[in-house]
Amino acid sequence: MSPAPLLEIEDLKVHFDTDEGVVKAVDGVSLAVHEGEMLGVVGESGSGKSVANLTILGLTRAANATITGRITFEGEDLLQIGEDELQRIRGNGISMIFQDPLSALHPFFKVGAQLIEAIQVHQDVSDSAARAHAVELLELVGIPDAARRMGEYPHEFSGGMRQRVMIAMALTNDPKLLIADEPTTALDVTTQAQILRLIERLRRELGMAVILITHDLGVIAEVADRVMVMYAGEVVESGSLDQIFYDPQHPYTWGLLGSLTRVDQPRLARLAQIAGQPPSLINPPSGCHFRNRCPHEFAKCTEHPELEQRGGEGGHRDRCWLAAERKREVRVVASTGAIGLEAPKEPAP
Amino acid sequence: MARYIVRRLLWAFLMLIAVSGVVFVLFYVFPSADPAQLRAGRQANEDQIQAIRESLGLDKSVLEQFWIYIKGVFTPFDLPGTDATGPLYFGHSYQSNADVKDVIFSDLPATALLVFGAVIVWMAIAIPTGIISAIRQRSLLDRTTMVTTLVFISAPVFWLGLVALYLFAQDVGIIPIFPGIGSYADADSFPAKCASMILPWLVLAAATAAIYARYLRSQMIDVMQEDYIRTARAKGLPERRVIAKHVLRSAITPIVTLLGLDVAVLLAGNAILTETVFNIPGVGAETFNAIKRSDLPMIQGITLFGAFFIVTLNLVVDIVYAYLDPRVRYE
Amino acid sequence: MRMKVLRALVPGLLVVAGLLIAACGGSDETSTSGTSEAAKQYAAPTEAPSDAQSGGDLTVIAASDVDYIDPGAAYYQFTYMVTSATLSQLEGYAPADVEGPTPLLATEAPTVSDDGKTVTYTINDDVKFSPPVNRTVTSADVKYAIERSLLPGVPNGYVQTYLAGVEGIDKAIKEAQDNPTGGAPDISGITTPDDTTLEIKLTNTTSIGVIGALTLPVSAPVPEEYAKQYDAENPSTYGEHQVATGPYMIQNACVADDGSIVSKKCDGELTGYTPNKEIHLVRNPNWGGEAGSPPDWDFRPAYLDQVTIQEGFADTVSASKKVLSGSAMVNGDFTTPPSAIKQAATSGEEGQLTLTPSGGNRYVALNTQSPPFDDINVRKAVLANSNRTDLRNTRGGELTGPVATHILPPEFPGFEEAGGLEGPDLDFIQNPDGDPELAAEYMKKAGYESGKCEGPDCEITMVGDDSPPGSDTAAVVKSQLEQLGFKVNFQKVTHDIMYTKFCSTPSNAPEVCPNVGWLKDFNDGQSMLDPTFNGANVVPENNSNWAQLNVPKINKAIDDATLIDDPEQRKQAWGEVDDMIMAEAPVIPYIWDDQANIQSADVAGVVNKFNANWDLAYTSLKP
Repeated sequence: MSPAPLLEIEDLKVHFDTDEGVVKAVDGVSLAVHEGEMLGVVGESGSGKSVANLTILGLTRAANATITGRITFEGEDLLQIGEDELQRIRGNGISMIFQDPLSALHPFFKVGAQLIEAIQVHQDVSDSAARAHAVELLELVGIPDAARRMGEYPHEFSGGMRQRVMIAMALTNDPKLLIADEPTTALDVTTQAQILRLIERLRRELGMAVILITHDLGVIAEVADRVMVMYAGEVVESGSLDQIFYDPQHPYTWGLLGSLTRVDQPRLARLAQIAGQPPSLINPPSGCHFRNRCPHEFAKCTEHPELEQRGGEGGHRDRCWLAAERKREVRVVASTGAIGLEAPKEPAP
Repeated sequence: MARYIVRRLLWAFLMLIAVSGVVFVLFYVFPSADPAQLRAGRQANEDQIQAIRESLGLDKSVLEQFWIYIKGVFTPFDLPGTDATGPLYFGHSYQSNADVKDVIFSDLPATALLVFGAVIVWMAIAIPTGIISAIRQRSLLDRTTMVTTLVFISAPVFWLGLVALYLFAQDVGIIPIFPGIGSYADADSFPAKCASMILPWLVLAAATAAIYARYLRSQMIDVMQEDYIRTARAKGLPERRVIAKHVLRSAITPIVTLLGLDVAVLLAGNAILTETVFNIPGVGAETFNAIKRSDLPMIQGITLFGAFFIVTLNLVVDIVYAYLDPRVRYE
Repeated sequence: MRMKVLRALVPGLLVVAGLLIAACGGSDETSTSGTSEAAKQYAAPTEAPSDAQSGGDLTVIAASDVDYIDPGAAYYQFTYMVTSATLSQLEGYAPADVEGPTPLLATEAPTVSDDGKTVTYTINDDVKFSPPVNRTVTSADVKYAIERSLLPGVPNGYVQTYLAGVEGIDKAIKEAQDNPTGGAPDISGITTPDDTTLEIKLTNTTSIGVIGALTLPVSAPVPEEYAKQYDAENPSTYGEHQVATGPYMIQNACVADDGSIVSKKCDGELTGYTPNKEIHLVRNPNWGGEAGSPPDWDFRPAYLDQVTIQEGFADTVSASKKVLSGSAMVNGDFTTPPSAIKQAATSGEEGQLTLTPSGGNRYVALNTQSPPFDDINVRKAVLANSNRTDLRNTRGGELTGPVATHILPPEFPGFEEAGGLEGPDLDFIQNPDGDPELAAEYMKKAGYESGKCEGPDCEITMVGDDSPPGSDTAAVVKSQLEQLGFKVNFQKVTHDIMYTKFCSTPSNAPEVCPNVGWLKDFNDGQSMLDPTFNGANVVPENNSNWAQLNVPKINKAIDDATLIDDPEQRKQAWGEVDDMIMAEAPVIPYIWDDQANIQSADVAGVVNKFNANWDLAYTSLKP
């Protein structure tokens, strides 16, 4: 019996009431993260992966938001506690880093000041102690000449260095959980690898859990323990890294993986391979939300599939109605290079 | 930075000369009353008018008049025909014969008190209003303030001034609670002068406060969408601190530019309506008199002072901006 | 005196203020009556109450500054309000003086020699200048005062006109103009046989004009030894250093607020005058009298301790309200606007509003030198058609004065002789509300068969004010002209531009000048009719004969009347000139302004009829 998870989300729904209708950004997501574990969350933009994670820290609380479900962190339901208690957890028990490290740092404040502020908001330490700690953190994330660079502004840093600053800032209070929302998307390929390695190293050294949010399965492949694939506000497949990579069950996951196999093509072209647009979150297709983009759609797809173990094994769950053997057949087509999603629609069995 | 400032100052100098030229041209190209005839009186004959024209230097060519003027303002050389020498010799009023520079300096305290008081009032109104409207978007409070704001923006200042007078002035008001028209001249202590300014401050500040509140609101709403505000929240900062420090710091920066220019323009005599309605003996009221009496040296002097304020405050704003926004660097 | 009573300042201000008042004050009923009943009802007191109290401070609320602080150049009703309290001319005006002045610095009215060519004044020997001069005034100080007014640096607007007959003045004028900073020129015709005698020799019999002009501030003594340093500058700065001879003085460093002497000597620079802001009058310690009891030579009781003139009240509506609801205040340079007059008349206390004939008129000038108004019948048609009541109402209706029927104003010598309120016996002036049929007849006489103007000549230009009430008057004039078929191109400019660039410059004059008028210099027909209707006075610039009327027999009648030195005959003569002018129909006179003056309820104000404004040396505060 594994110990209780560090963070457990149960049936989380985040709906925004807008003039156009109710946006179901997150619609019944459950997950669990254990101490020291790295969970990868994958999906296109608009799949609800960022919203779900921002909700953990209460950052989606707004007048027009309806949030239900449960988010348990160290035994506390984060949805039930007040803003004050949330503030205590933010940047402390749980930290976040974001996609664009330039826009995520305040342009008018010195890097050092922003770090010190992050320290002092949770720790009652003197300015000099906070400063020393901040320098230490910058050194920890690999910023050379850290003491001097404390006095510089974000725009004086390169993209990778900025993301290191963000990470340092997230680490200030030894968080149990780090949520990294697309931390490498805005960076060039070399830097991406450096940042990922840094996160991985810190996870190991500091023993924190990480939720790594990305649209790029390739990023996850290097570091995640478990993977969750999200689509239209729902988790469509979840399992261990190996299960997702070697035995993917959902056609959407195939699409994401299919794009990975084609390393000979430019990156953007690969991303474009899942035909069609992400569905409207106000009025998604009934039944399986993916069916209008799915080449394997059949009658059953008009029913909404639950996330459960179907073709996979050992906790490997998905939301696809296709029979297990049918999936294996179709997937072969995919792996031969004629990508599964591009295969002609098949008649219903 | 130093090189930048020097370059800007040189430009400012050239601009002031150009402004003097423009005023000259405007005065001579557009119909204005003949100062010599006005000064001579209705029964004066041609010779008298001619003599006055000569004594005012109006018989010389426009170019020559301009040269004499520029020489007096900008150079330390003797001026033939007068014993007053430059630099900073702005001539004498056609109407009262008073030294233009002295008149403007004597007008400045009243205008400065009016403008800086009004700045404090409008910032004191605009900042809280803008913040509250921004963080409580679409609330009743937000909607109320924005409607009130629109009313004040649309209301002409002199109308607002008269309404304020008829409502609240001690001399002509229905609810006589504030000192009324002309009370600045009566006030002999600084507190009394400030008291005399309460209504003018409110009137001058009303529209500007409204504009600033709206501007601050939209700035704040923009800034609140920024990633770094999310970062600040994710750090665990209390919301109050997020707004007061992180949001406001960014949202207020463009307002500094606005403020600098508004102050310059008001000091330059643009408080003309407020000053005339409340009879505040400042630069604006002087402008009013000068224009009414075709008093070219006064108009010229006030315009130059105004241009000077605008140029200077522009430079100050740019320098301040460089400190406020570390990304900005002047070369 | 200049027609410079400040009208319409910021158009917007007044319009808005007017609307505001109208909204609070109900409807605006105007009367078509042409009488001056209103003026009688609100007649101003011309003497102080018997229990007048000495002491107290008065505030005068003014829109603008005096025209010139220098008494040698002062030429404006409001400035006279100040000079009549601070200076002693040879002769001055007590509040009730209408027919003629009262000797002031002079011991009695001047004597005129039998040939009418020598005027002799004897002056009081116990009048003293205020500090820092402190010495007794002599006749030489008057001579100097007149002479310095010829300097280009002392822009006097009337001396060269009325004193043109003084011996040696042409030479003096030339001398002054050739050497503007060389000091005042000598006028050989003005001599001072001794310290109390002033003799003026004339080349003709224009003594009445001379004596009239010398009731104005130019005859107030100026000490040469003190003033010459300031007169050596161009413009002269004596005005800013002037010394007083009246009961009050503009404060300088020698004198404290209470009128006591701080020091007999100081640099004399006025501390009580800030242009466009304030004039502060204190008692003149050298005057020789006490508050309420003047010295033997003076008639002014001078009850008040101090007078502060506060300027810059551009919005005359709120300024008027301030006076009416305040304490110890009177209006200064502005005519009370109609809305405030109404308020004072309906809700003010008795006596707060006074109406006094201003001694001025307003008219629409038709350019008699240019078609179509070179045809007398066209002019007569325009006059006949004009509803002058409507024109008058644009200035505020009945309370602002009667509808004019000719030039000379009420209570002015020659007014009754010219026909009084009824006006001359001319058919086209009879109906104040206009007579379209008569107008059509005159148009037919002029050759326009349809009764309306037709053809290229009928396209005319009019240059008028760009702000109310002048622009309102102009708009009514335009519509009245259009009724007669004229096509009017109305150009709006400021009042000063209208005069200096258009109406007073014949080469640039339009066919119609709707916003002109004239205020007397002194109570003699010459000052009303000579500059404005004598063909000899049409000059290339600064012209005041706006109709450019040039009828030889009228010119001659004016010249003849100028030389008459018997007051009764003179009155008759000017009355006749007035009628002759009206018979030519050069202008549409539409109002003889009553000046509306207002005071706070606790002021016992006295109006000086000559100046149609408060007399500061007679006004007191109620006990």
